[in-house]
Amino acid sequence: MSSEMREPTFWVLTVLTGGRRHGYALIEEARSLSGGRVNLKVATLYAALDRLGQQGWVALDGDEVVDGRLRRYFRLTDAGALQLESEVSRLEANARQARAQLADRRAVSLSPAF
Amino acid sequence: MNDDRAARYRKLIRWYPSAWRARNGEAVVATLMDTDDAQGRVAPSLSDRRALIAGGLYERLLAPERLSAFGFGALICAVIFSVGYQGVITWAPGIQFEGTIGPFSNPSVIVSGMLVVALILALFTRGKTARFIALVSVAVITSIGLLSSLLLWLGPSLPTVVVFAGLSLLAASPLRSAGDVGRVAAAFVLVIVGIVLVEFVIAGQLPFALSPVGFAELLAAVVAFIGAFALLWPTVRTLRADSALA
Repeated sequence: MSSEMREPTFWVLTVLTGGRRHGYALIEEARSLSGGRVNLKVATLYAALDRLGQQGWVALDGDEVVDGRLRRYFRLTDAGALQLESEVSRLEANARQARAQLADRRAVSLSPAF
Repeated sequence: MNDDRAARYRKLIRWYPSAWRARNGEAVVATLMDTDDAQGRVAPSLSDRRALIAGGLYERLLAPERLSAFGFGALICAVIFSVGYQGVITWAPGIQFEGTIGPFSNPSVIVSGMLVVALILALFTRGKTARFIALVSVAVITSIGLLSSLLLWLGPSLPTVVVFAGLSLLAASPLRSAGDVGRVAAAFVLVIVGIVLVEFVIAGQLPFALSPVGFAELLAAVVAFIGAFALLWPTVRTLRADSALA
């Protein structure tokens, strides 16, 4: 699969590579790993988790009640890990290509003009 | 959990279908409260509220849903009837009369268009949206029928409105079995019987008294409508439970 992965999906899968997480932890860790760029809304997060669950990339990993609040845990499946690997490879290939083009441009701009 | 505060958060997720809330509600409320606690808030931010409203409406109306074979069959029947009606009855290029729309002699073509759109959406797994459009088309064809009789348009006639509405209602219903189809179809037949009986009563009614025959017809019409409601009740219950299973 080579189609582009949406950013909330990318960060949800990335966070879950570190192990099972509940909703709030997913939001916080996505913000931290993205350097503050990605602020998942709760509605967006659960829509993504529903979709990822249907696709088989994420699975429920139990509920716990902490201080009267339900913590629902999610984990990354093998299929989800494969999809994330595929996306990371795509992004790396794109970044390498862009980096090479930028290096060529710098080389051209630094060469003396006659 | 602070019950009052949790209750306020639960109110916000009522935009979602009851099935979705049963599945995810408590986890979402807990996540909302955890997030707001961390940011020193006692209620969701405006952007969170907007996201919840948009998310809830999406789950109710747009989230993918595959229609059952019965659902597809009902929608296809509705489209075949409506397109056939437009082609055979209303197609009249060049006609100029009140209530005509382009080459069509009456506005029921709007409803036919809605049913075609519903079928296309259903083919792309947008079953919820398709059923919603079919449901709205029941109200639209009924309104068009009323306007037609008030403003003396060239149609649609009452029998046509009843057939359109019945087929659209069938297409809008969550049909999971032949029993569902039978119940809704039988209810539709009873409604037609009831309407016909009422028309007989109106046609034969004396100015200040109802004849025994008229009274019997009216009673039969009432029984027919009650029977239709009884047949539709399981479908209504399924619809309510359906939004809990979405």
